[in-house]
Amino acid sequence: MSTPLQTTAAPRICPLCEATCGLRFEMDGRRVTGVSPNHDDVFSKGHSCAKGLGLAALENDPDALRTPLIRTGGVGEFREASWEEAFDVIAENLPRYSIDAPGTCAVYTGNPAAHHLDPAFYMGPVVQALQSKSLFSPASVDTLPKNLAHMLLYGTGLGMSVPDIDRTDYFLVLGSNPMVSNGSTISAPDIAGRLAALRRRGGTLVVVDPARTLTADSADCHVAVRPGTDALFLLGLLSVIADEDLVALGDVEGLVDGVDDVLALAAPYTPEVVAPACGVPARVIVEVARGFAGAERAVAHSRIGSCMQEFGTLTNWLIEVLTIVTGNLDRPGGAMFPLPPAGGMNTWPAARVPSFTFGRWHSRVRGFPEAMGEIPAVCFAEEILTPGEGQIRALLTIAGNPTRSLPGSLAVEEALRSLEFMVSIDGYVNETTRHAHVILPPPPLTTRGHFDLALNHFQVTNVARYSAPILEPEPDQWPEWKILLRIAAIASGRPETPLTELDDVMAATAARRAAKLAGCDQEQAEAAVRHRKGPERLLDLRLRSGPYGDRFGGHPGGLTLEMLEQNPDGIDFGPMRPRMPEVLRTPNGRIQLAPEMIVADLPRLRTSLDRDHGALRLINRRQRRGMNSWLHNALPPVDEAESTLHMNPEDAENASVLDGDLVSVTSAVSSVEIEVTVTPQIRQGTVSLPHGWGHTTEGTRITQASSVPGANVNALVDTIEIEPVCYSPIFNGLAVTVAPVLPSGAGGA
Amino acid sequence: MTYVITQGCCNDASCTAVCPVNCIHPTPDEADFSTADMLYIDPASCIDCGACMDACPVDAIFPESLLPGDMQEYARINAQYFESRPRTEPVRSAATSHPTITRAPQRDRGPLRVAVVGTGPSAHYATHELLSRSGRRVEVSMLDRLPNAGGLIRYGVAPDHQGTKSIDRTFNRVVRHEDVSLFLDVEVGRDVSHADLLDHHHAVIYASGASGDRRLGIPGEGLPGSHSAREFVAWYNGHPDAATQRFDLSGTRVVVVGNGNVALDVARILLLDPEVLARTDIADHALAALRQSDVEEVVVLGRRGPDKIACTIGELRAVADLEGIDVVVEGSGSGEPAGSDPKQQLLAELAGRPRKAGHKRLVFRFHNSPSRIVGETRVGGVDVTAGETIDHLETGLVLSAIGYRGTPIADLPFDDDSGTVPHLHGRVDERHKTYVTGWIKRGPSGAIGSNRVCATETVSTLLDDLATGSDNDARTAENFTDLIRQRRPGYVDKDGWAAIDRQERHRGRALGRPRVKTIPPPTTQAPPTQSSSTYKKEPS
Repeated sequence: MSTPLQTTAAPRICPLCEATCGLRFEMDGRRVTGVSPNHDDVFSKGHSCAKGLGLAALENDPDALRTPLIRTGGVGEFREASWEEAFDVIAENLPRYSIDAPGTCAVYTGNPAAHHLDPAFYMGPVVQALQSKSLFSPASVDTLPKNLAHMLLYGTGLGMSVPDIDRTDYFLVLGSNPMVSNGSTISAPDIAGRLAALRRRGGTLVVVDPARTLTADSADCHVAVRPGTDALFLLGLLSVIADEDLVALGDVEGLVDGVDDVLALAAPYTPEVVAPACGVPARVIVEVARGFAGAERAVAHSRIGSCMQEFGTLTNWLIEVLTIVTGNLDRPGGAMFPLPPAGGMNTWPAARVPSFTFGRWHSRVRGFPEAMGEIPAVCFAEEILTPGEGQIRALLTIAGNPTRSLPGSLAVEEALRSLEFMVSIDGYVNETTRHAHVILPPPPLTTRGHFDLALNHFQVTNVARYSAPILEPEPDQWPEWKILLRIAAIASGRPETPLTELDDVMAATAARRAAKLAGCDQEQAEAAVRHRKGPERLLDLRLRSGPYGDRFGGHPGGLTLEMLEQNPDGIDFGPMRPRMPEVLRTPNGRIQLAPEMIVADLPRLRTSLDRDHGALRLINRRQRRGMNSWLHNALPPVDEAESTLHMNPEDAENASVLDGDLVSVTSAVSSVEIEVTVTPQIRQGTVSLPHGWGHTTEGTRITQASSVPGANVNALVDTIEIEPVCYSPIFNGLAVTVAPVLPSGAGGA
Repeated sequence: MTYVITQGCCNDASCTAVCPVNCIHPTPDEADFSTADMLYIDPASCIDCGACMDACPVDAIFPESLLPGDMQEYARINAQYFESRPRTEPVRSAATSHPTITRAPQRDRGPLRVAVVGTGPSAHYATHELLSRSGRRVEVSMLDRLPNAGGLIRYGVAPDHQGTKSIDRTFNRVVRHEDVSLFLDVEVGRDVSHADLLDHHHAVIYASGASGDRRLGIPGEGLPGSHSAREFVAWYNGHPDAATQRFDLSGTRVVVVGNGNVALDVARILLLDPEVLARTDIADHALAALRQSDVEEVVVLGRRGPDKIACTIGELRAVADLEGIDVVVEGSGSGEPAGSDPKQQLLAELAGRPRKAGHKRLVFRFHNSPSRIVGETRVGGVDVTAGETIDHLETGLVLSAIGYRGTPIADLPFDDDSGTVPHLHGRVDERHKTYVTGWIKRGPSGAIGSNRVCATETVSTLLDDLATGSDNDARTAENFTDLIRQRRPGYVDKDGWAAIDRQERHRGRALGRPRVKTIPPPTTQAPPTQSSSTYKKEPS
């Protein structure tokens, strides 16, 4: 039966990045025909970018999988299969690792999984059924130092302080290029507009970055430090602040311990001492210190560049120290704590002494500590490749491409090749999933509800927004939560358990918890959400028991999922408000400014002062239309120009490299070839590459991405030389050599 | 805020391919694309995403807030384009990524082999199209009679416009492709025949440009001291065929006929401070001659009024604020309203500027046609008709810049009226799989990037014609390379060219110049063969 197609437009929050912009999906029947910015969205107010507006291309990508695939032979050889066939193959194999040898199936979740409701709620039962403690994600590659620093200071890894960008007078940004990335660990749609507004109201933007990024170019002051010297730069600032008596804690005065200890530790790192290592004039350090401390309201913010480096934890800790000792914590225009509408670790009451989610167990091979439930990603390959009791022999990946996101790509590829069994929930046959034995495609975005459970912790305004599914899934489209529950059922040895039963069990647990938070009976909570199922039911429980919730009737007029459904452009709960001291989840409810775990790393930093600066240091470069490797096929560049190595003219001359040359970039562990762009936009001694590239046609089905392959920078990164506090790999500041790849007969200088 | 396209725009529309809201116009699908001076961003619908800036092959796009000082005017120029063309469509993305984005070819069939004659922009765009959009593997042999690749990028674009030349980075990426072979210093018609190319390829695309001139057709045109601007351009750019040319720079005035981009290029080179030129890749012999030049004034003659000025806004702006050079606008018929056209506005503004003592002069004369070049044994002046009157301009050097013209290609039909090879959507001869693209196809018009759309058409036609062709035969890259080795020992291949190119640029870097051109000995061009009788000349 054919029904006339109707063109409709539905509001939809972009699931691609922290900006979480409101969009409108234009539909023609089941097809997304266009995406436009939603001007009525309470948070993004009509802002959007090339990524979000590219969602139609992503949804309609001819290379995207619509049907499960089953391996028929070598790597990349698949046939299309029905869902039942696919689950049968999983049922034949997975219990060997979940039941016969519990814990030998690892789980890798990619970045997209953090943005979607289904994995956020339903990974738990899968992990439980697999009895696996080998969980991996890119978080331990790109965020953990920040998580750990905030965990030690404020008590939770996710409940981080967020710069109040809209009210500050002085914004110091390190290792971040928000005008290109749209911001990270800060959810602030139209961040370029917000930065412009800061400057319009007379505020100051200072960007510390070895490259003159678009953000740096738009700043009042660009401090082009050497890669990996951010911690020294920050200590330089603190030494000035200590020396010139600029310390003033403000409202948090009575809550902070160890201030004098930290200032004493910083004192020796005067601008004159650190300037040579940082590669910037001492005068600049003094000016920034005075500017920051003297500003009415100031805040410092750090991201990827500060995390994926040699002194990541120190740097991220010092950022907070700087904000705290200048009296900018927990006040408007400083660093504040959002109040996420669906609750979280720093809104739920700490029933007992909060557990420190670090080092509760350790990796098998090198004994590295767990962090926030995950094993450091630098252990991924060795956990699979190293024989012995508990060796990982099977893998489940969800929206992840570890071969392009983890360091030591060659070993990661080898590890995947060696696996006995691998299942991927993924929309593409890419460099990772080509190794899978079963690939299960996620359903279209249009069939999913969307709410940013995790990213709401980073919102600069307290808003609550929910996108309802636009379409019911077709019979051949499996909602991801059902895929996950089915895998959980298989892994636990009860493959026939109805999914509704499993879902009800989850809902009952969630209702018990929600009722406790709301101060009501569990029956009352269950009854209130009985008409829902799946992630919507679990979300409703979280919202109604959350900080704005209706407490299942206890707080009439409070937030419910139904209210959000009725307000598809979102509800604005106003700007961030001070949350001290209730926001703290530290063991004693206070802020220990000098955590031993971090301070102990200072001697290592000290030795870096005397380092020889001869080597070229590689850093990462953010791309506007990229999101790791995720969007490369749907939104490819026109050619490889955007993926080149950026190199300073002076360094290029020293290396006999010319603009446009093909060069080899060689680290201690590997080498890649790529075209070079000679540009003064990057400081001398530094080269940059974007990440997620190095696509291949072998066994993959990403025809657009593989036509502009680029180089895989992750192959250059070591898994042995790591940041020793949280065991993160070192991407930024990696020592490399660059040499032209000369065709035979092509002479040099 | 918005992003802004500036002077260097190459019109190749890489930006429109990545713009999520279709706010860059004209697009290749729009009628005025082929005649557009440049492309423009609509500030009202730009969402500030910056994707175009990253995609621009010549770095001509900036955020408005970061526009370089000499490009500030372009914010207004971009906006102005849309004043007369208000956009009514809503800001929204397309359902799919743009078709000009590349896709890796399926490699399950044998390669298609195509010879591309020429190594200029149209040849590179054709090769890029063949490699990336055909859905199958294509091997391309690029041939050029000169030992240097680049065509008009190397020998046409003015040395002080290095930004325009930066498109060569894009072209080098094409040549670097493993399925591309390069045969420089190999002349079709002398070293290999059209039939040889067809023996070793499934199709041949001629992208050999226009190497002749349109004639003024006035008395005295043949006098010594009267040259085509093309020859002058070739000379200062180090073209081997023009290296031994001499231009008389001992007079104070040069007259340039025509006011298109080439006219302004030669005027600029004649007037610029040689120390500025010394930091470019101008040919050393030209620089030496220009250092001795006595030229103080270049008169640029336009047959029609300022509203019909032939140059682009970018070229006009590029002469407006040069150090030590006054731009003088004469015969503009003062009182003509400038309107909203940026070129008219700029000309009106220039007309009102005071002259400065000691400055050299670039003089625009409109409604002025040369009627006769005067002189006994060499040029002594030009008679210029301006309405009812005839002026006499004394000069020893007249450069005619009224257009390039294609020259006949051996074994191909030729339309003498248009100076192009007759074709249908790029196809010259279906049976012999012969195609044309670029200036030899459509005549000498458009910007560098205009050749992309032109090449897309030709390649689409070619691929349609060959869709059902045979796959497996003896046409291989090895066999063709063997033939060239035999016919033209010592030809320059990909590696050889890379060596020359790198050496030139290394030498340049040491001297603070983009490159120092080596100038090979002049080539001996094969005489053009008359149209063979197997072809019927089509009406143009």
